[in-house]
Amino acid sequence: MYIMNDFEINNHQSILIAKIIEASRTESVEFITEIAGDIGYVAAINQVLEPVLIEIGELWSQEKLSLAQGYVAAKITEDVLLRALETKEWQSKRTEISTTVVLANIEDDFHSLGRKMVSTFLQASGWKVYDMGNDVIATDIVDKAIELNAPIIGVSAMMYTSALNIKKVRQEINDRNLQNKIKLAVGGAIFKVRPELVHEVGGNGTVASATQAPQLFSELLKSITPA
Amino acid sequence: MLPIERIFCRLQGKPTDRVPFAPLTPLYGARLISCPLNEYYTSPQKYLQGQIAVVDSIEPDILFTPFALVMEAEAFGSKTTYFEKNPPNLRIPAIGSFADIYNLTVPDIENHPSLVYMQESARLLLEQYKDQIPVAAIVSSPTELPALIMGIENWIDTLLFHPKEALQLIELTSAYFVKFANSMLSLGASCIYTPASFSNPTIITYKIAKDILVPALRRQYTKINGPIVFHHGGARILPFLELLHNLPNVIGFVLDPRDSFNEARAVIGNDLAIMGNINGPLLLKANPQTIQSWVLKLLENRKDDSKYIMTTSNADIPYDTPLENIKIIAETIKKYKN
Repeated sequence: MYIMNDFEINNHQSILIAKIIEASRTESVEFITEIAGDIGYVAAINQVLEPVLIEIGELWSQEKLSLAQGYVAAKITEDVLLRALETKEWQSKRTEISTTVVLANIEDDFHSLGRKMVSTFLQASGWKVYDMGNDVIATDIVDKAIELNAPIIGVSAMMYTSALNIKKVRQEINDRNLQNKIKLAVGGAIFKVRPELVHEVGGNGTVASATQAPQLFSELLKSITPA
Repeated sequence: MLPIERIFCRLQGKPTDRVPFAPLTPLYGARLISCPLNEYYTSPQKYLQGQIAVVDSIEPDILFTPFALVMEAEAFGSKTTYFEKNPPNLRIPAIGSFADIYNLTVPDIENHPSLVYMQESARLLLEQYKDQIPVAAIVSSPTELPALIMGIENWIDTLLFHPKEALQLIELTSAYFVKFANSMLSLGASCIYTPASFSNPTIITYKIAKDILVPALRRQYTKINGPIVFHHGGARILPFLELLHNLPNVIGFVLDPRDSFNEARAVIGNDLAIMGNINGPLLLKANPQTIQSWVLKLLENRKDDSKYIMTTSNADIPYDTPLENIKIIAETIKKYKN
């Protein structure tokens, strides 16, 4: 199979970023598919899509891109993953992170967009995601994490009042003495407005955009003390 | 000067005794009368009592009708959830996909309980404060309301990938918007105060705003029988002001706390009112000294601006905000010598 040089990789990345900024979903997916035709899906995702998502995340976190453009990036990722999953190459070569994480919108929160986008970007980076949906109570979230042996829980909230319910997840983790086994990632619009809230609700970390979630989850996984 | 005189002089650029102050206190009234929110957001009489308490304790220059946009979506079929200390919010959208847009109809503004509540609250407020305090009627923008009818994700998806259906839904919400806004104005509301989250670069692309959303607003705003104040909707609006500043009937903009007044003035000129820029939700945890410094900085910045009105930006002032944190704003304005 063809191997791209650095110039080609950079060029492809630049083109893809421009297409995402233009919110051109179909063109972007076709472009990645074309690259995958040359170098395979694993390389196309690792060398082109993932670095672009990091760049997009950076721009988004600086409010240089809109939520709509972040959404387009998520849809492109979903579309490409669907195509990749159908190939034998993907099934044989892609290294999955053999770790399951649990995602949920906390009790009283019904704003699912961010959570779904985080799920997409995590899966694109090889994580296994168990998505519990909206309005999930703390005990159920922690029960599910224990059941699946998930070292990271990602909880999302849009509003201040519902974000305070995340404290209950921290309490559950602490009450069960799981602080060194389960890390709590928090996210949602309110954490951008009030960054101090991460500490207040007992979060171990957050990021300003969904595309940056894989990096945060990797860091949180590394921070877990081995038994 | 009475608040109504102060505000109308300001809007015309005439001298006033001081800068007017309009904190966004629909929710805060419930706290002042210790009223459970499920009662407050269903009883116009309770809403009136809450706003009377606001007038007695804060002396605002503008009063607002309930800031509960999801109640308008309720009239389209969305389900609402109530909170102990927050306004009602979306629980289940009326529709789950763009394909369902064709099943929606324009709600009956005269009979739907949520819309009756909002109009009756406006009527009682106007009856109480007629010729004293202007009442701004908060009405969802026709380009924002779809997010509460189908959820943010589906509305973004529809705008991006199904423009025909997006326009169809905007037609529907516009028909409602024109009826409801004009009803509020016919009751005596001084203006329509319309938050528009989908008109800023944090949420949507410039191209969609330019090609779809702003033209839709332009078409509908001409049908409104009174002035419109354009609220930033919780994100920076300055980058899109060049698209928005000459919309019909718009008399002013409420800016995001991060937007620059001077840059905004450079875009919109001196004819329109400019409002903001105390970050309402931050009043919860700030101390009075800090708030006083914010106010003084704003007053200095706008000292030569005859069409400036100090308002709180973003959402409602939070329920648990200490009263002294709001009163310090009014006191600082009153003491300020320009």
